[in-house]
Amino acid sequence: MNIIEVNNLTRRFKELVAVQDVSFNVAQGEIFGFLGPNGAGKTTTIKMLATLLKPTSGEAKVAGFSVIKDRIAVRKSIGLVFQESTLDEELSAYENLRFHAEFYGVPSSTYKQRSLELLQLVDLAERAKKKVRDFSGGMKRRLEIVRGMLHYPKVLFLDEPTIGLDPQTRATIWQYILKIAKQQGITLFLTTHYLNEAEYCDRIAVIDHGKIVALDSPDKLKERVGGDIITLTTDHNGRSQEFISEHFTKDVRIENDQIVAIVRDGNQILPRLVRELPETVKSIELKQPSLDDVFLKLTGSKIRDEAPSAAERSKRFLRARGFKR
Amino acid sequence: MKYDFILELRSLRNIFLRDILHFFRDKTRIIASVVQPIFFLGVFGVGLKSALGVGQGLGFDFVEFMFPGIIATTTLGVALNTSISIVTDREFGFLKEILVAPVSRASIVAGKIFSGIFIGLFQAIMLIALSPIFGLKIDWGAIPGLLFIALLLSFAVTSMGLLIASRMRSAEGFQFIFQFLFFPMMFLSGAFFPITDVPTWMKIISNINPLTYAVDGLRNIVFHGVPEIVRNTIIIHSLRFDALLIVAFGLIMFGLAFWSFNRAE
Ligand SMILES: Nc1ncnc2c1ncn2[C@@H]1O[C@H](COP(=O)(O)OP(=O)(O)OP(=O)(O)O)[C@@H](O)[C@H]1O
Ligand SMILES: [Mg+2]
Repeated sequence: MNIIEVNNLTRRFKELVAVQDVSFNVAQGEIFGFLGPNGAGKTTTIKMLATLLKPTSGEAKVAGFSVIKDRIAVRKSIGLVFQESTLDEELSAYENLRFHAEFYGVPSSTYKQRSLELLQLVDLAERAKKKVRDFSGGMKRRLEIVRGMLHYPKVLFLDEPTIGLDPQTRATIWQYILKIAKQQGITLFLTTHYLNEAEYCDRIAVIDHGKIVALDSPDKLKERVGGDIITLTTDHNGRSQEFISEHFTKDVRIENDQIVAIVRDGNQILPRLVRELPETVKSIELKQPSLDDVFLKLTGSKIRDEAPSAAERSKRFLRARGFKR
Repeated sequence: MKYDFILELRSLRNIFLRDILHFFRDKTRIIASVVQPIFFLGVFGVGLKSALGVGQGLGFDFVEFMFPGIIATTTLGVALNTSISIVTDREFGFLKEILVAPVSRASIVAGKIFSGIFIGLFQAIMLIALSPIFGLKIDWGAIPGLLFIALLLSFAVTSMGLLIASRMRSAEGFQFIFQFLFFPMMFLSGAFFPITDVPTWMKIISNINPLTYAVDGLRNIVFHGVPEIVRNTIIIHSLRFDALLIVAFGLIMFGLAFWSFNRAE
């Protein structure tokens, strides 16, 4: 059964087309990811699915309800962890959870118990009664994520859930998210820049300039790269490239003074390459394709790096604080 | 669209309770709610009385004359200030948590209005409680009436504040509009001087100013036992008319605020 159905969804901001004619379905219980660079239209899509933004055209259903006609019913079925913090910093962690539960009609006997469990799960139990203002960024994010799950939504939208966290915390948070989602049968819809995070997904939609350029499982997407990637440097890269192109694979190019060749069965090709190449091999490396390579292949450009640049981060911070660019 | 009535009420209460929690945790606001009445009663009441040397031979007490204006103005201030919470919620992100919850916009607006009324009434009670210090003698019997007008005024003003807040992005912007509204409303209400010998445009503003009717309504109550001849020099409309106009103003503002919130994305 499809819990999300999206048909030709489009959103314009004046002349800018932020999301263009997007269609896809998400099955119940699936972990579905949106992968794309800054400004690709990820947040805009989520906002339309969460009824916070009206589509310019097209239609979408979440949990069987139209996001245009049945907005309250949609909102009852979903949880949303926004890209920016939406906690009430003057309240304690527990109070934030309590108000959330009240909004979603969770009975008090249920949410008291559940809040404690969730706070324990994300190691915030001791801080339950402390004001959120004094929490670290990672603590706030953890609280925000469990708050989104508190009412056991059918679909949980996570807009860059681990943005600004260190790799260790990111990994821990993912454990929590996956564990609770599995326990409660929650469908996850997430966006991310982090390619390694996208690998948690059952399926990934690669989005660029408001359009979906590919939609498949991470493994299938990687297959599209066409094989394994061998990166090498030799005495004479130009001549080696020609040689590889003639004898091994047509898919070979020079990038940053390195030869990059894409081959099937890299494990067997690599020793042969070293043996048969007329030039002396100075360095050689074999790797499986990553989603980064997929993205490069599909869009012709690299997705942003692992860590956001300082400028990018401060831009995000300002935006999160409500400043307009 | 189908509404879950119980859930709506629960969310309304939720929005209200959160504002009240914020109010009572904010020490400066609590202190201000005590200091402000003292300031107003001291400066506008007792201070002005001795400075102008008025009060003799009028047939009524000057501080008593000023008191309705003081209640109305402070209520205006706190109620307007309460609606700013929607702007700060927007600035700090929490508004999104409310907007994505399964709550109709009407309940959000209504919840905020309840907090405005609560805090407005709290302020009015503070004023009445502190008034004996300044030599005011208010009948116990007059208190319900005074609070009733304060309640209506809080409703009207909070609705107006919410209409403005629905389109404001920053608290600074709201503060600017606040000054812009507060002083004209205060001075063109007849609270501190009569609006008789003024240009027509001032009269028009005075006539659509809910504070005018609040001040008049409060005077109706304060000067209940005063001889008709004296009353006629201070009071313009009947209490019922005053109450009706404040409610009408409030309902229009509520409707516009609700419409504005619904339209904003
Ligand atoms: N309210 C708005 N008004 C005008 N333009 C907007 C608005 N919201 C988004 N946009 C524009 O729409 C485009 C898509 O934005 P969106 O926030 O969906 O990107 P994103 O994929 O979430 O990017 P990021 O990774 O930076 O969060 C951007 O060009 C953005 O400037
Ligand atoms: Mg985004």
